[in-house]
Amino acid sequence: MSPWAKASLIMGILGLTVMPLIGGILAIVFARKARKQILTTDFEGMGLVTAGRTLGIISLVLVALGVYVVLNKEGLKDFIHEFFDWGTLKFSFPRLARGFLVTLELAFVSEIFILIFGLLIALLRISRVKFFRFVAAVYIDVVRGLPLILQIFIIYFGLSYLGFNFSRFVAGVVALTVCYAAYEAEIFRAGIESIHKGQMEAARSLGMTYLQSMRFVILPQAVRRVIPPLSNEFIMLTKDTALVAFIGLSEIFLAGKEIMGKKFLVAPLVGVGFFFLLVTIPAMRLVQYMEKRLARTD
Amino acid sequence: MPEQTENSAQAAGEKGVGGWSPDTPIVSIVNLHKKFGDVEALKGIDLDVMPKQVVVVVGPSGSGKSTMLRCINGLENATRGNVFIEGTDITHKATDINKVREKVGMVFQSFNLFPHLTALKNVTLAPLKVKGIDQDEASGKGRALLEKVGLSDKADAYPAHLSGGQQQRVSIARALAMDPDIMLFDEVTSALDPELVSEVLDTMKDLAREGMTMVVVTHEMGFAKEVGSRLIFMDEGVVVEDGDPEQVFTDPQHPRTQEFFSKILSHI
Repeated sequence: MSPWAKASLIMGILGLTVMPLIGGILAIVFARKARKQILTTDFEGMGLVTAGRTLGIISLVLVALGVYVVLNKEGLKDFIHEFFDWGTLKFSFPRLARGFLVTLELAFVSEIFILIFGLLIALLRISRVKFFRFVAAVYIDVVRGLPLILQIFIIYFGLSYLGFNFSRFVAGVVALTVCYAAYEAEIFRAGIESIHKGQMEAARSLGMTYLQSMRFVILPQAVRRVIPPLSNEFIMLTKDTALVAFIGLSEIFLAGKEIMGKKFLVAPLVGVGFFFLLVTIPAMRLVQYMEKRLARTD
Repeated sequence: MPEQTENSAQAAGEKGVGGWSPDTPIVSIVNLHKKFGDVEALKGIDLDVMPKQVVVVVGPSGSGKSTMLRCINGLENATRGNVFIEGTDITHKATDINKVREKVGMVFQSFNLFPHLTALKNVTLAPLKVKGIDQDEASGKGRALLEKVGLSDKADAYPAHLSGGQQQRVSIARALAMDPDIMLFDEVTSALDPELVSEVLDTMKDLAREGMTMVVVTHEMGFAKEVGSRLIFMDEGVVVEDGDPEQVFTDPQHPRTQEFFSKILSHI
């Protein structure tokens, strides 16, 4: 392995800590030398080179940022005030929290209907009756081919012209269900089809009907497999509830936008982002954990 | 297909639906054809299985053995011809295939145990859901069946924690739990490590001794000789030879049978 690779990594680390500018430059220079050597020999140590060069670049970027801040103190102050003004954040917090409860309620209520409706569509999609398969396929294609915001507007305004007067919350639940059920149906279908056909044959050979076999043999296995992708969809859904703000539901995004309009600052929206990350990041980690566990037990 | 309905109605009339008695065939296959796309897997099979017979079906791969077996419990639908189980034509549209399957147990090459259920629950699922018996009765019977196949200590184990031989014995117990009159075995030892084959064959031998009617597709010639009451040799979708196992082994009549046995028996 080339000694330059190690040197590059060490310089990268130094560049980030005690000698910013010089360490960063040296890390990049050494990485170039190491790369040339490695490419002509054994390819070993490529990871070290990449790490060294990346650290070097980060070091230089930080130096550049530092220089900019020193030369432009006013700009930095404006930036912090615009995005992170503490007074505004504090003022926004209770309203955003109330809005976020609406957001979570919308997401959870919708998800219950989505799971039921999505599974139903998946079962139609794999039905032996051609007509059912056709209806499900058309539904999935149309819904997946349209923007969610359009579906929300059509369901809220369109149906009210037809005489159905949904509240904003109910319209939101209906629109999100219509949309996400199509995606989750495809996930359910993939899960069901991933179960070996011998399982269905074994169940049927014991005298169980198709529906009994589905319910007691296929679905328990399929559902377990699709929990991670379904959870990912749920995270997406939680974020997409913000679109329901456009028909006037006072969830967290609309609450943040209203405060922004009064204060002429972006800080309330940063607060909105904070609330979302509070839920979505742990949820994403949880999904990763579940995926790892499922991979081990399969 | 109007022709088929006519035929089956006629045949059903002759046999008399439900008029099955111990000295009439328990399985009766009449002119069975099966096509997969353009490939004709079965080209007219006629076969009667009498009660308590152990019919061993051998033949080269692709000869249609498994397809024929799967037509007996309706896992494959016949393209033409009829299959009667205890007098009921399962190729007839009005037949409730689920009712017939309760009487026809099947064991698969790849076990197909339900991986999310324990051994005991694998055995009790169908009796609980299909026959509607209560939990205690099902568990009692399930444990008895697991003991019969020598796995009473594995009742609460999941399939993933059982060896191949153990899994296959659980799946035999699972099929027996429905009190079938006929058992179908589809190359049940082919996926097993050599040292695990005998425990499965022993379980099948016990079953044969108890008088179970069995149709066994296998490559185990020793089993055919010892337990089989009848040997069928199939090739290219037809039954080529049908007779007493000892006689077919020692004195095969058809050249294709002779060729097959000379190839496989030479290295035993």
